[in-house]
Amino acid sequence: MKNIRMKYLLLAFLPVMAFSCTKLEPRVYSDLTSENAYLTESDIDAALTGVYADIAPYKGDGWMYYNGYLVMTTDYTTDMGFSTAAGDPSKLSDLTYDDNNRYFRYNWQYMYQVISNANILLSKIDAVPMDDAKKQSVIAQARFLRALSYRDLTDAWGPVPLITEVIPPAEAPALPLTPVADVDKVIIEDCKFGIDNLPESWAASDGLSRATKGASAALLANVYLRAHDYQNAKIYVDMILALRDKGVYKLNADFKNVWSESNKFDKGFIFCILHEPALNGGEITNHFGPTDNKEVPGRWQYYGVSLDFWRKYSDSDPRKQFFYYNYEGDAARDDNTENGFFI
Amino acid sequence: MTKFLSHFLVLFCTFLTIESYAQTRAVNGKVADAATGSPLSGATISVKESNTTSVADANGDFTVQLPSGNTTLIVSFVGYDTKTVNLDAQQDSVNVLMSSSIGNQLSDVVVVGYGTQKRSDLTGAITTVKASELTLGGTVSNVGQALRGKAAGVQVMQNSNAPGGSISIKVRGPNSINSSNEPLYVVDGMPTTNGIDINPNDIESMDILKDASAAAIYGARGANGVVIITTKRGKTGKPQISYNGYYGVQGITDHYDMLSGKEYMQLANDLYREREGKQDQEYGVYTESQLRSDVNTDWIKEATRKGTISSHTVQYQSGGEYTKVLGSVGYFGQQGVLKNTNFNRFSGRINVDQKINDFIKTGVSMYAQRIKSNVQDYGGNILQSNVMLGILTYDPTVPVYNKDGSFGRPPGGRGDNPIANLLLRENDLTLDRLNGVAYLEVKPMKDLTGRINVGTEIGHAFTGSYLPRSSYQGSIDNGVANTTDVTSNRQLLDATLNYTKDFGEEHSFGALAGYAYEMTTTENRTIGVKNFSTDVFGFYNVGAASTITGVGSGKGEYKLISMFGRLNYSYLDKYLVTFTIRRDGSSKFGANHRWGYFPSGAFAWKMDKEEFIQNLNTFSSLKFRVGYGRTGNDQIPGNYPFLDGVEPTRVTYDGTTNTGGTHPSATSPGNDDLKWETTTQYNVGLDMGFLKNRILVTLDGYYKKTTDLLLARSLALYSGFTTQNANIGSLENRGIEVDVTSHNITGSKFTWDSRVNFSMNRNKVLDVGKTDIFLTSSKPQGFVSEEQFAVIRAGESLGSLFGYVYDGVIQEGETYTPQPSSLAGDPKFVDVNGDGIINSGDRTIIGSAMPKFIYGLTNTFNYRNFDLSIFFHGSVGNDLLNMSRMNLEWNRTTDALNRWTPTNTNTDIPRNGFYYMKHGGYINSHFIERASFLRMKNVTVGYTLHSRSKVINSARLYLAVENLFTLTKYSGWDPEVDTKAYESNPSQSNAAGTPKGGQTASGGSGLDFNSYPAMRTATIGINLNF
Repeated sequence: MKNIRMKYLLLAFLPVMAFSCTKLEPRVYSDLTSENAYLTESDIDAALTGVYADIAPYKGDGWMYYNGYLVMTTDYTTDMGFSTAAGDPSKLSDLTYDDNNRYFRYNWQYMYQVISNANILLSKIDAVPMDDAKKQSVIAQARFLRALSYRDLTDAWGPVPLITEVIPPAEAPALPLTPVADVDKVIIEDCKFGIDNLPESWAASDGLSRATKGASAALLANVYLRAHDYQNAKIYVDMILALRDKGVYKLNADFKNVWSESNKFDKGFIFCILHEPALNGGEITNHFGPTDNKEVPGRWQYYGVSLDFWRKYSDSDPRKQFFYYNYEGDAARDDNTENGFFI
Repeated sequence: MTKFLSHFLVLFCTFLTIESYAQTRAVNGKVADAATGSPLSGATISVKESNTTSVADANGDFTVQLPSGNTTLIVSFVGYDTKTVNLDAQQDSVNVLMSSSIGNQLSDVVVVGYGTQKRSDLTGAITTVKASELTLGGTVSNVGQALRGKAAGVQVMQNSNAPGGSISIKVRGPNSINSSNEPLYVVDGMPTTNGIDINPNDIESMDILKDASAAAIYGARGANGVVIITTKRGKTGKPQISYNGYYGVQGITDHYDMLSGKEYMQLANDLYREREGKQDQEYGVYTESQLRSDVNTDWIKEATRKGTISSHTVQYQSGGEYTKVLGSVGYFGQQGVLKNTNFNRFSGRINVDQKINDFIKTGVSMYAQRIKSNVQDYGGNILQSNVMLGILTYDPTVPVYNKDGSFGRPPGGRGDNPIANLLLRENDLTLDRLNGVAYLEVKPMKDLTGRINVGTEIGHAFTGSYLPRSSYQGSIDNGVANTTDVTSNRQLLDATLNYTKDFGEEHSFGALAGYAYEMTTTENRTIGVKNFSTDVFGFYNVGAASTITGVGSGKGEYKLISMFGRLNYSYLDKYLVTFTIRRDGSSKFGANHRWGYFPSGAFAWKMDKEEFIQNLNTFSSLKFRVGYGRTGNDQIPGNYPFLDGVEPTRVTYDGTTNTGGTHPSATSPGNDDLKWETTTQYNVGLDMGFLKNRILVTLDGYYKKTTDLLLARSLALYSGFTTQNANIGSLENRGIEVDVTSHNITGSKFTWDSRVNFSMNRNKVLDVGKTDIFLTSSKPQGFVSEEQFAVIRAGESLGSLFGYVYDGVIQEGETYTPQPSSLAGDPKFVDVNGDGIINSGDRTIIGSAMPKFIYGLTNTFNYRNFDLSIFFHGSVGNDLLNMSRMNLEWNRTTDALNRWTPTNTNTDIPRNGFYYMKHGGYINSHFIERASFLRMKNVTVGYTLHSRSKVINSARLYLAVENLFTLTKYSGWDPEVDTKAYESNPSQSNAAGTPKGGQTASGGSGLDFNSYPAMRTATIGINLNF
């Protein structure tokens, strides 16, 4: 009798035994990992787009690096800009900032993110089968973006850790500060590679705002100028002027048109970051126009000029138009508007 | 008539008995309460070692057929000690008096995880809360509220007073920093992360496994304690239907002393003029003509209302020899005191137990519920969606409505009218859950039981939000709709073998072995759109919008596989030992670190069985317990925390269209070495009974050390990554708990019971890696930056609030060299590091969110048919950072009138708040407040009517008041709130089974910003038993 019951028990436990497994490997459905994110040419295209995205991070209404924070440290610590906003911004303008200021911390972080992500792309691209010219162009763009971030880092801090290869992040050693001259060497190499491998301009279908030969030359000239190496700087300034003469570049006839709302892109731009307001705005772009702007309405305004100040310009002064020329609002752009910049 | 009938029956049976020559004989009798003499209708009378049973009728009368040679009856009834009655050979009638089991908790059965034990045989620290204590009165809408103040060592925090607002429960302090600190819930054998939401009326008992030796059987997830919930099941006996219902009204408690419209405008102009460079502007904010306005809007009054709360549960149970059934349907509804907020829960349950034969038993527990709630955001930030910010701080000179009925909206874009923002914002939350567990129990031998549980839990959370074109943001975007769907499916299979055997009188032995498999898959889908031609659709027809602002979806899975075993041995029923071991594997970790071993051992000594204790004549029971165990935790956010993630991003290369790209996630560089967080716990306990167990005292002391903390470790930022999931550092908790139950008076007409619990926990972070971890608050105003407000630092406890030390106002003529740019009336800060300048290095720990101790006190009185219960609970020694006051004191409450001016110098409120100063920061000790409190949580008066009618058995009517008063020095609305815990725990993710917690929730407790108003509730309720 007992044996029969034991059989029942075994019978009952049979399905458990059948199912009882110890396999724990989880299936990954909707997440990319470094294992599967850099396998094809299209993966590489996406990764390069990712590095472009990183110079103006957080799409939509982002505010890091070129989307906003960079201008706080470059302009608001100088006479170019002045902030009365309490806390960290006014501390920059008042020169009472300390090392806890968020603008330093986050600019540092996001600049290095561009460098790291460019390095990762450069380390992966070799193994990917794709057209060699295309490959060189991708490498050149990634190196240009890396050079741009190193220029910004050295502008702000002088000597900084120099990293040009992938390092396991957890093992990132306490890296020494590399003298600016040595960082410049990398920037110069990267820019020269860009000059050799990038087109003078991109077709609209490829993407107007990609790095070009001229952009590499301009960055290079800028870095030589900073190092007071005027001889070398002139070579690359001349290179840009030659491109202008060739018709690649052309200054906008009327200066106020350069910053007008309708002017997304013109031949005066050597390198630019483009935005569109819905999915790819940025703090500067979305918070610069008047508060009743038709395309980007109802935003707080951080980076504009105050209406009081703007009204002090005489109507006949052409500079009055420079501030928000052609930025369409629901209300008229006149002396009575309350939909101005910072109010 | 009934009596006649029963006599007749007896007579008839007697004849039968004679006829059948003493095969059976009838015994009749009466069952009554030993204390009151009142009949116990529904008591079960069964004949020992036979299948014969009977049930006492409304008068307590019964008749039972006794097989020949059998003279033992077993009488049982809920809430009473089971009684064994031995009859004389010829005896044919008997009166059974039963004693209430209250006061004899020691014989209660406690659920210990994959089994049960008698309380007196426990070796671990387990607190039991029974149904009668859970729903005695008041508006208990969920398990968390029901547990509050009821069990020593269990801290229940209502993070938000909003309807359906989140609750966090910590057993013996927080073990973990980054992963969840919520206990594991096991409902009828099914582990779940959201046991908290079930209908409290369905609960039979809750057993809280507190120490490691008790919780280690749940190994991986036992580290935060385990709450085992056993739901009511059908019982053999008379079928019963009961109804429990209540209705209550809620009103907000006293609120802030706000400035009138005129005072507000004057102050705004004064404050403007007090800013540097604006001294000459008399009408900087409000013009002369505006100042004449008489509008004075009380936004809090406009935004709130009398809330209502109601609950109805109908339960049916019946049981025969083979089948026992319980069915329950419930509704709970709350209209929040803040307009446009509510919470509704519809729930149903069926529990069936089916005996097939003496060897096989099976059963099922099915539970389904739908929660529908209008929610708003109380996330402690300044986004428009955070409705409380506008309500607390908006300009009182703006009318709610213009004369034409439209919302008052001043030009200049200072955010929308708060009432428009509250009323027009549509946020619907629907949470559905279906949970079914079936079991099969086989008993092939007397001492061996095998059991298999198979269960599934399907969850669906839907959030739909719509901002109509009549709202401010909605008017800009022509209507904005967002929908999010999260579905989850958890599958469970476990099998256990249980063997118990007594060897003679001396040795008693028990063994358990088991296997469990659990898999959870989660899917989410979200879409955001704007630009509608009409408001008719709301979020129900997103296709009608012309612009898609965002679309997303994802899927993930999580597996947990376990093998476990337990050994119990007792010698002479005096010395008890328990060993458990569990091997757990989690898919959240890297391939080489998925498995962990979690052992425990405990020893208990029933000292009351020793002669030398008995000779003391002091203790009616005495037990000493000591235990050790290791438990694990894998509840780190995300399904694949060990993987290196690559995320989608996008760029526009032409200023019109977007191109998709990918980049590595800065917060998940991957870590193949990620492994279990482990808590090692030691526990010493003493269970004491005095005066025939009228007073029961449980004392516990514990020490817990959590190592390999799962943390988001900060990386050198030049690595390109910010944080990485890693096992870093350790922390400890130590504490004592006292639980006292006392039956002060146990007269036949008057009884008085008290239950007191007290717990003290000390938390200390031992190591968090190379650098401190800082937590950042959201900004209190649009024009200031976010600042760090809490720090996780070795040597300090979690919940350390962090900032500058405020030292009053700088007076005229005073030069304070560390703040060279400060003017008279500016705040003065202490130069903590003594370097002669006030900067971020002067920030230090300025408060602690950890209470020194917490306590609860329940007194229950019964006089004849009246009952009265009074429940207090409280917390001592914790601080809150009152960020709401930061905004209010500056320009909204009458405190602002007491700010420093050249003529009002004796004050600690600076001249222009804390936003415009040149040194220091707005997070400082001025806003740290002691949040100790003593709250009269609940008073309930009830009257029970024992009916002799055949229709109704008993009825109890009660009145209850909740939050009658709170003694606290805290100036905010409620000293119990925790904004950050709310933030990291939106109800959506809760429903999907995503672990609560996160670094901010544990380390960042102690913040109050824009919390939901606190309220008082008056309730009337009725319980009917048929």
